[in-house]
Amino acid sequence: MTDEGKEPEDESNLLEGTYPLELSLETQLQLECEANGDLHSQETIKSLPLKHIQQDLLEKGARSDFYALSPKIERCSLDEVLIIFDPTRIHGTEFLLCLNVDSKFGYLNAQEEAEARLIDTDSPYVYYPPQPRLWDGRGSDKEIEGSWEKNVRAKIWLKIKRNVPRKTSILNFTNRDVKDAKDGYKACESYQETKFNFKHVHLMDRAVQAVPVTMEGHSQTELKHPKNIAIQYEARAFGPDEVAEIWKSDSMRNFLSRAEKIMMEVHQEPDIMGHLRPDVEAFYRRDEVVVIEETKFAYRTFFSELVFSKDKRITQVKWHPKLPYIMAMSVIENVSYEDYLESLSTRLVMPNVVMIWNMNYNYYPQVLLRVADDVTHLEWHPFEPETLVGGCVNGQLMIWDLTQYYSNLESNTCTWDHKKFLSPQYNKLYVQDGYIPLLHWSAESSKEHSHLCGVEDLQWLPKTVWFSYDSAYPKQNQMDDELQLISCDADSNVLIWALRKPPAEDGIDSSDVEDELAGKRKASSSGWEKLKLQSALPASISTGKKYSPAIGKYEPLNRVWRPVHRICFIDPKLKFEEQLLTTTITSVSVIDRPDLIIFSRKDSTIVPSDPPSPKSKPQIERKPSDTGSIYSRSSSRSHSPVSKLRKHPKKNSGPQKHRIEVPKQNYDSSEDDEEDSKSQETDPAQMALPTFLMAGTMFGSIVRVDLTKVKVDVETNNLICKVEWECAVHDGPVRFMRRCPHYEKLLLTAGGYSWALWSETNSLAIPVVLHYIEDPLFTDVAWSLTQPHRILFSDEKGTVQVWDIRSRKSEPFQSQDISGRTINALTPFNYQNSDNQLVHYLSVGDETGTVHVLEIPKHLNETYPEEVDDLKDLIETEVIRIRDREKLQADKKLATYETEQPDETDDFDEERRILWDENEYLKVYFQRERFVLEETYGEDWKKYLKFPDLPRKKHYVEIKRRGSSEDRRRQKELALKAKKKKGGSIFRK
Amino acid sequence: MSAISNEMDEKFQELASTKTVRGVLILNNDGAPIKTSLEPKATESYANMLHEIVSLARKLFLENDPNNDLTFVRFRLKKHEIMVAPDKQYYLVVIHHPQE
Repeated sequence: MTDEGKEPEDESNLLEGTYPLELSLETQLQLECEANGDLHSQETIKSLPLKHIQQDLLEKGARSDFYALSPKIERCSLDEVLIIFDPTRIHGTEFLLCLNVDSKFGYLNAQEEAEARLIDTDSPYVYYPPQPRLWDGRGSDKEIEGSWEKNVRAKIWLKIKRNVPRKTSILNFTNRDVKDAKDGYKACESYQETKFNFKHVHLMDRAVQAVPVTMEGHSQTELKHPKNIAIQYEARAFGPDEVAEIWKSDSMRNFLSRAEKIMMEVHQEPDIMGHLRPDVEAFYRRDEVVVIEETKFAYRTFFSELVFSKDKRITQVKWHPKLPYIMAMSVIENVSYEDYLESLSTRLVMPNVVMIWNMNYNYYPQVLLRVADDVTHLEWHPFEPETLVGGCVNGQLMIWDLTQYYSNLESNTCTWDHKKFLSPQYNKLYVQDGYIPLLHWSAESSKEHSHLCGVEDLQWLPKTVWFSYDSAYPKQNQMDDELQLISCDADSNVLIWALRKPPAEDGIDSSDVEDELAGKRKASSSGWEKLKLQSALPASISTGKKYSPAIGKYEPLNRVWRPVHRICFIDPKLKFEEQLLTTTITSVSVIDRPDLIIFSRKDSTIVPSDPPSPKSKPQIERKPSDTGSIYSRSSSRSHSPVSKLRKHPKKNSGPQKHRIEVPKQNYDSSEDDEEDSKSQETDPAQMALPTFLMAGTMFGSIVRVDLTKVKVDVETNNLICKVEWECAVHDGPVRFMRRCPHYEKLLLTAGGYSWALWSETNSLAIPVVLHYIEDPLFTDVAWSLTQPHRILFSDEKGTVQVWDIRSRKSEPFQSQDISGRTINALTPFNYQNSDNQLVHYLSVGDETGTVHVLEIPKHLNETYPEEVDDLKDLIETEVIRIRDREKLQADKKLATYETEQPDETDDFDEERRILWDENEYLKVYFQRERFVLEETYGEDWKKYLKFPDLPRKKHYVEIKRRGSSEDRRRQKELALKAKKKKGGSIFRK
Repeated sequence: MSAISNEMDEKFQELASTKTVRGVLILNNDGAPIKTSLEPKATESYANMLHEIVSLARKLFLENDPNNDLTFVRFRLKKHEIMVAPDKQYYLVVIHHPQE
């Protein structure tokens, strides 16, 4: 109530519509606004209905206190007016009358303000810290329960709508120009286009969609730098002192004893689930997905042809080296060999065709290959993908040139048209009708130069080896793309073939051969026609005017193809008659050893070379001496048998072309020859490449031959090789010789009921590994393509066996029955499937004429990079072991002290096949051990024994002098000590 | 005092070195490890989580009946078993492989 309170009552500030008024006591009482009674200094304002004042005016007329203001009262529109008591009489009167809304509210506000100021006293400010209070719920707490939000109050709905109706007035557009602009502003207004009419598009759907975006993981107040005292960064942990204190406290002690008691109780009942366990476990096992890795060979697909392969025996299945989905397959009649030979002369049917299959079209073969006779061996050319070579039952070799269909095979398209094939046709065996194409061979070998009986084995020579017509020695191959073949028959002949036209020989010109053939063909044409009708040969081949059976790039070779060399063997230990019997070769394998050349170079020995000598003096090679590989060329004037060979000199072939380098047969060649030769340059192309041939014979022995040590037989022009060694190992004909694809010095041979591994790195004449098996006979052998230590075998009962070289057991690592029929061809191959994954397959051809394709399970595929090295190490240690054993055997009779100490650990930690008496060996070993130890340690040598537990006693008996009783006692003590020691160590474990 | 702590240590070691027991852990009622036979990392995770879950369980039962209390919790896992003995001040946790 200071100066401020007076302000509104100031005369000049008298609000509009407020008038000063004097009220008589009578009126005051009548209107209940007695001064200092109803109204006082604390309550100055009273609200009155206007009716009361008007009534007062009516009753009293001019006497009324309000009379002076009567016109203003009449004009007043308010229902209630204010009477303000002003005890200080600022405006001269005791009362004021408000007849206006503004003034009325002005006074009311002023009063409120005055009241508000009443609270604010001038007492000094004291701070009271805010006290925590209980949550004063205003409703929002009901909406939040835990972390969930729920609706408890009705939401306020607002519907906002434009009240103005849509304007539908017609707008007029006029053309305007920039020039019309006056104020520098020009809007590009819309205007009426006269060229076409706009259509009003009604019914356009419009919508607004609100998409709620909820986010989690946020706090309301985001802490940008959350490093403050309230945030904990490390797990709570006690310091060592605290821990010790707690540890010592009674509460902890009590707790631990209590907890221990509980734990003991719990231990009485070990299973929490009790009898519910099986049910609970079964329940959870329900959803469990058990991943079982396939360990068996999984069946993928098969190839079988109703006409050409059904019920025939598959002899060979060869997968294409470049196109992994292409396979060549040969079949023969499923009869025993004897029956087959018998029926050979009476057979009228055509020989069985060779089929080329595509993995993706397994209902019919892609190409049929005509053959001269049934094919027993097939090989794809490693470098020429369209060339296939085969060996026949009659001893011939054949070449097929698939160039014509190679594009089909390569692009994975079918050679026959399946739609046409199936449509009803009268004669649908023609290629143009969509039938499977039948391809004639490109070349067959000359019959008189081929094998005389069936081809037993057919192999490519190593690509480094090259036999030329004019040298008896194998040379370094200078051509990158050419390979030679080696084949053998049961007639002790091994032939070497080159895919080249041989030099004309013996006066028979190739044109002569052609003529001769033509003549023969004419003579047999009627028979041929008949055959054609029977077998429904395609017209393209049989009805051509010019009969040209051979097609493709090897056509010039047809019927004139002859081997480069024919190799025979001599075993020096045997008489000539016996040799034929023993060297019936059934399988061959050749390895070149370029490492041995280096050796010979180091010795600065000279290597043969044949410069063209115009006088064509016969070349004579010196036979290598005992040291192994010393070759020397000498231009000696020997009267070699070569001169006899050149009975038919040809006019166009150079003399050197006909010359055959002949190893000198008289070994005692003159010394000056050798000196001569030293001046010659060494030319790797002319060097004899050390080449060795391993061959298996009909009688189960393995023969090794050095192909560089040959003689030339004067009459037959055959190469005669001396047998280096022969080892009778197998109990049946050696049917298979396979080089390890990972380690080519390792050779696998199998025959009869046994298989063996041979190492070529050293001249061991016995197998490194040898296993004998029981009943079913092996029918085919293959190395695993991925795992170097695994070998796959197939047997007569239709089982595929997997053997592990590392295992010493003579039993397969895994075996699986495939078809129940004798398997004849076993070929693993890798296939890139459509997902670009490399799949490992195994194809199995059985005697029903079906090739089954199986997927090799993962555990037989997986490889580790060091596996090849492991295999090499294994073979090496095995070789060393065999050597040692041999040495020991040899030394057995010698004085034991002279030999070196054998490797102790190596000999005792593993079980092994000991070829000689174990007792004998142990005796020798213990004696030697004792000698050495006594030498070094003297009396107490027994303390230093490496294996004190070995039963030495019984072996000492013979050599030990009778020791004194004291000695024995000491020995006993030592033994006891050893026992104790052993016991202690076990206890400690 | 040291005799007492030795005796306690002995008890603890005995429990920890039982054949089937993989680890023993003593926590205080805030979940801070006091004594452990596990590796620090495993200790931390076990301490945090187990304390939380057991105290939650405890709260549940106390709320229903304040006179009652949780004395033992046992978790049966596929591979092993976790046993917790909660007390007012401390928790004992034993992780063990039950014998099949």
